[in-house]
Amino acid sequence: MKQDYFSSNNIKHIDYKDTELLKRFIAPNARMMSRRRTNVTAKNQRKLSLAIKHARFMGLLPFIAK
Amino acid sequence: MEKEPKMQVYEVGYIVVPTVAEELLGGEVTALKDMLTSNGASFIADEYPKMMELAYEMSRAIANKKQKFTNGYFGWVKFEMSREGIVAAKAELDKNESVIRFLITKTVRESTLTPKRTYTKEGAKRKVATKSDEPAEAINEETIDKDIDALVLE
Repeated sequence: MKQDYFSSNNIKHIDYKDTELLKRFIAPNARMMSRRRTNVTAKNQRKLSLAIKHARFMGLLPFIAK
Repeated sequence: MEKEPKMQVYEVGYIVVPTVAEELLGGEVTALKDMLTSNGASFIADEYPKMMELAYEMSRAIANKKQKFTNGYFGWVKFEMSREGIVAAKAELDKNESVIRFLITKTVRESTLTPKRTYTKEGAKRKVATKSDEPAEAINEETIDKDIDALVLE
């Protein structure tokens, strides 16, 4: 069964500094994964995408992988 | 009736220029914190800046000259502040030339960092589980004896 990673691990706030966690949800070319692949709820996917964008701005994650 | 200033928990993540020596980094951090305190911040948590490689090259105009950076000291500080205070703090951070970039986010008092764990894919986990099960079965002496007996009879 499909399960939301954040709900099942009781993560209420997705932190942009937690790059190890965010890396699970980005593809090898550094693009964000779609909801279809992440199996995350719509609410959490919005939080996740914001966290990834914040991490990118601060240089913690790349915009594109070389 | 006078309204009390509404307080909000904020977090500022910042990257200090790598040209600052490790010994002088403490001074930069205290200067930043003093600036926040003067704008009415009460600190909740923080992390001392650590040297890290940036995911891509960033440029920042320092003394009217654009400079490029590939690494920097990344640190963050969490505090409570009024809405007016954060506007003033942002203006001052903009002027601070020892900071390449900063990010102000609204957050909660509790720690938002997840406890450290090994991030493995589900498939990998299953493999580990089956591997650990195998030796447990092998240790069973009775089945080994039976197997040996069967072989001897043959």
